[in-house]
Amino acid sequence: MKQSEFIAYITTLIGEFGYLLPEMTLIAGSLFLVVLDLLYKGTAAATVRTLATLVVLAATSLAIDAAPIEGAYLNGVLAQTAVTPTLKYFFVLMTAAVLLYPNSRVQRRTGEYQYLILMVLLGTFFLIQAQNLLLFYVALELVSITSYVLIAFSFQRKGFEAGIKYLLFGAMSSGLMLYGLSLIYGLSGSLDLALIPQMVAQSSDPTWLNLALMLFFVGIFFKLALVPFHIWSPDAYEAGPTAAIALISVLPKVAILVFFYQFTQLLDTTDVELFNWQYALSILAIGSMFVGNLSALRQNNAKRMMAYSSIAHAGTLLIGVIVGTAFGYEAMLFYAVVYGVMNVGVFYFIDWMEKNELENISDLAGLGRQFPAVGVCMTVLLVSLVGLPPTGGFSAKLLVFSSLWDVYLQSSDSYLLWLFALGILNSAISLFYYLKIPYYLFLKTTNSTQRYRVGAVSVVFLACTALLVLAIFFMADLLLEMLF
Amino acid sequence: MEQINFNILAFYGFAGLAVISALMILMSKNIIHSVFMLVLVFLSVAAIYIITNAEFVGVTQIMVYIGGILILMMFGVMLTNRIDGGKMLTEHRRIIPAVLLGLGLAFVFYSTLQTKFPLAEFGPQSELDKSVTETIGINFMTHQLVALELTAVLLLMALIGAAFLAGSKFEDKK
Repeated sequence: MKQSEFIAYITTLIGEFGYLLPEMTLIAGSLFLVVLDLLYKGTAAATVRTLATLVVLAATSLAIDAAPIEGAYLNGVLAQTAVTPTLKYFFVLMTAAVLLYPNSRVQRRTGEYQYLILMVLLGTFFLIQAQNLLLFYVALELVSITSYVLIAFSFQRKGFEAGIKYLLFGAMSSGLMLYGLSLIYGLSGSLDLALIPQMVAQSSDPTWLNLALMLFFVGIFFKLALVPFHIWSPDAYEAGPTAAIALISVLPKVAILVFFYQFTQLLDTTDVELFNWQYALSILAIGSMFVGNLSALRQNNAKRMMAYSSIAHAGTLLIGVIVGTAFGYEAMLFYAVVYGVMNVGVFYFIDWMEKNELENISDLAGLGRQFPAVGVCMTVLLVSLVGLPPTGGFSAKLLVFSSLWDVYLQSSDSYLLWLFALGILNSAISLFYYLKIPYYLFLKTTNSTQRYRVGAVSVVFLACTALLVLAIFFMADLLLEMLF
Repeated sequence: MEQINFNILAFYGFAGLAVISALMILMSKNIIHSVFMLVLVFLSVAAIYIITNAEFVGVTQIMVYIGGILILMMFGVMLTNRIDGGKMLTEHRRIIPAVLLGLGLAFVFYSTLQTKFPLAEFGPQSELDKSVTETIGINFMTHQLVALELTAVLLLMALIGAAFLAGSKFEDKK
């Protein structure tokens, strides 16, 4: 590279850094929070910090609006599509909702908690824009390492144990993925997603590419907690602070799926005869749905149940990638948004349970009659998780499965039909354990005389999520328009 | 007599050393022996890097892993040994599934190794008039600038997280 070329290159680089305004706002804001933690130690410190975090999030969402761009920038390392800003808004909203959880007082006592939450958000921002494998890896590690620390934030022996378990599994899978990525670099000579397919096409033998992709996919499957890479997730979910779990169960998964979809789209453009990855993904999706739903049936601990439920939902989300069409992608994102809203609501309730030292679903007996508003909201959210009308969960499942059906009609591969049939069967299985909570809430009675308190804020929060879920069913086209 | 290729010879020597020491880590019950075996693994891997012309990675390996991480690990092991009094022992569980999984993975790698690795065209050697370190530096400041900056954020996060976890105490659940 000549001197003049080099200077021009650097100048465009500096000029285009403005597009990273939301990310830079987030970084500056998170540093401000860490400093604030040291400066202000008053009685209301926790509330002040939460408010400050919300202000940072608001500033970030303003910045998203201020720096719109479509296409690649920063020399093709990052790229935005029409859906990127909407996804960012969704991520910011999810983070804000998680900060309002009632039981996170222990966590909120420390400024580091909010800082780490913001770091997860930052990592997902980069994940959905990354067009370069190295940047993808760094962003993924930002999200994962933050998650390891957050799991240990419950300050119990169990939390540390789960954090270490998560760390060991995560490090192993990161190593395998990195090996796969380096093989891809050796095969294609480039880390940029746009350049990989044409480079790969030069070689005719796909054996090594298959191995590289297999290793890469293993890392991604681990982060998505798909069967058989899900072993860490129930322990981590059970021990971690509920607010952080609600965040980790949605944001990183959605962001990785967005990247994974882009990556698999590239595979279709190469002429090389690859292994049938759609087939392999279908097996994993079916396996995840079955293992997740069947294991959830036996759980009495609410958080463990939600962990298995999230494994099953990851399997359903994966259908969007298997389908691989634009419609499938839309359906997947729609599903992801609905899933995020439902999860935030249900985990809020679990957090409330923990605050009142209720851990098991059977402890909920009779509480629905005591607090009808909460009971009704929870029922709506859980019905939506099953995927029954009139809730957003139904619309989402309908979209995902109809995109799958479209592809099946075109290709008539029998495994797609199996995926379709077994996916719907799994929705029926999930009915049994999701509705266990309303069953205990309303139909069971208890002799316990203990009184619990539900604040007005909790009712409003749960009502908002339940209303959103209902609104998505009745105005599904509005959300689709917002997304695309 | 055929000419002996010392590069190949050295490669097999160090690779064998790495594998044997890695197995020794697995077999040895005393955790201090394992840590010392880890030194050997890291050293032989660094040697392999240098043999295969990746001298930058090799030196980084020595500086980061042997110079930093291993010394820390040794301190950790020895200090905790003092507190505990007894020897720290490790044990093996679920050997059969682990062996099966390992053999399966080895089979996958072995069958892939039967075909030649189709290395991409990286351009003629003459174009690379800069040294490896220079090229890495230029790439970091141009093409991978965002990744570099993000790594800085990642390291700060890890620092804050680690400092915080190390400083916190268990809160026993009642």
